[in-house]
Amino acid sequence: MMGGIHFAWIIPLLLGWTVLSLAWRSPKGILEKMLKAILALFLGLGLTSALYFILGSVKKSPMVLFGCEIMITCFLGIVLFWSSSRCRDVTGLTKFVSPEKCSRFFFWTAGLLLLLALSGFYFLVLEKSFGDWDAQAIWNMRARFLFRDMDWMHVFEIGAWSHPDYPLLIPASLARAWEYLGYENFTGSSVLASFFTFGTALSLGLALHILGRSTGGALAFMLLMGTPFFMIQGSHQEADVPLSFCYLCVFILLFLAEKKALSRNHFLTLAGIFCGMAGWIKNEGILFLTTASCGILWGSNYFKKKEDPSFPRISFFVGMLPFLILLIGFKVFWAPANDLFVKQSLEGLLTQMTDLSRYVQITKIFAAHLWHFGHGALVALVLYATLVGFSGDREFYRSWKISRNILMMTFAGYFFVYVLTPQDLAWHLDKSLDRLLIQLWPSFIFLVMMVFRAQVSKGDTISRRILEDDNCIKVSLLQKS
Amino acid sequence: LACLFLAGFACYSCVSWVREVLKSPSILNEVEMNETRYSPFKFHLQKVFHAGYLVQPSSQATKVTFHIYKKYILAQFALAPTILHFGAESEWIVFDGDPSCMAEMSSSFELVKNEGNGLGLFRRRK
Repeated sequence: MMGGIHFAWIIPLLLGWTVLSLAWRSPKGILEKMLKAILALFLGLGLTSALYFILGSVKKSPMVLFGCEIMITCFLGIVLFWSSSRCRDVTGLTKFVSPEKCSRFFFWTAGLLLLLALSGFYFLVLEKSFGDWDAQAIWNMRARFLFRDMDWMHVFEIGAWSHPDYPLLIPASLARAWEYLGYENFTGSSVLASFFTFGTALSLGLALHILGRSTGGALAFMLLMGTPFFMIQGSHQEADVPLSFCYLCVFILLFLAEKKALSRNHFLTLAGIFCGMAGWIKNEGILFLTTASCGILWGSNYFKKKEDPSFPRISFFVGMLPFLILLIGFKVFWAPANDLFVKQSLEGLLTQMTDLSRYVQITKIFAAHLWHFGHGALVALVLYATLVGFSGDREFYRSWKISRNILMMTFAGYFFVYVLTPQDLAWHLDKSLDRLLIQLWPSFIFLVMMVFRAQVSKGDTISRRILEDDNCIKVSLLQKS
Repeated sequence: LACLFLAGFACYSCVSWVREVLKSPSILNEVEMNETRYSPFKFHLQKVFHAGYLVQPSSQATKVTFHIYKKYILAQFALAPTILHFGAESEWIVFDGDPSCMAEMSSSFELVKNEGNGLGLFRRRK
């Protein structure tokens, strides 16, 4: 069964790649292919974990699971082949542009930093191969229940300390890998943790590069590698890192949707899928799912100009639907109620909502945590943004506005969770605030780098020109059709 | 200049945390130790969905401190999918406490497995 472990990663990669290819056909250049592959593996893990849960809940054997995964991948592959033979590919984004001198320096520095971070990460993983506290009590524990127990639905009977209402993307992905391997092996969880951590950083850098911000991409990558808490949380197999990855993917796809006018609805569907997947990772993802829906509904007003192609917001919700149905089913039929709501009465909620001292206390602690966040990483980023200034570039301003709104609403949502928490406020803030900030951190860096930029390097200009040329071709194709 | 500033900050921060990680003394992997300690119980608890967990004989009230709670979670992690509950209501009891208290436990429970150092698996007498 040792060879089976390779299938545990290859099948999600192929499945995710096929689903992504239905919208994003043939990426040009090695960096764009890398970005697509990272997103594909993440999406594939989400889809296969959902399938594992569904088949597990009707007690099918592992062989049925393997068969189903392969059948679905083949079916989507055929659909892709059939559709690509019918229509011309218009979704490639950029040709690979060799980084210019300025960005090349940062590019190589980022490479060195990656090697350094990998060595530190490796030591951390060796020390805590089973993950840290939360990973043991929640995610890896749940994976054991799923893998070891024939009647694993009684995992939901475990005490509230293990949060049995939490969604199952991470435990199901790990348990699924063990099914392929035939036995439990915590190297799998370390590999998964490495993928989520470095996948987030690489996606951030690569996305900025292909959107024409080469220098910003390298800087963003370095900044994330230099955020100690992010790397440590990642190595400790906490779910906040994959969740931050999922948020980032949604924003990247929203930007790509604006850039690719002709396949905007496809990219929005993909953004919707990732948004739904966020809810399948952790409960905070459900809040994000809500704020993203509001952001999309609200933001579609930005696309009402006559000269713009339409903004098919329905595509976003269609993409979100499969994971949303799964999530509703999970919450309604299997998971117990969330402990934050069980402990709370309506009167208690109203009292807390009208208690001004709580707002003051939360604001103070938020400010202190933001100031010290990442050993000053946030302050450094703000300083950088102030120095370079707002680019005034209106290239992506609508997707930027939508993303900004979503991020701000999510941040406000987190704030209100603390206002309403039945736990001791100081304790709850102390235990969880930094982890919540980590969830938003990669997306925040991405949005800052998209609008605050230093002088446009030659490499950036070339990338942008190619993007513009691509768009011109597409607009002329659209006019012809 | 701004780019250099940010890159410098990121490099410094990255080097600092990696240095800190490499400098820190390696800690004992408690989870791995517990896996070994509890592994003989797995055979007996294979078909048991619920079991009790005690650190003191059931006659004495136990205040669940952080240390006890941590031990309990490690035991639960090792013995999943059997669900452990604090208390002696279940037929099977995992005892992880003072070795001298094991004799007291034996009055109403049968000792099925004794792993030493106060770790034992008990079953209620019929």
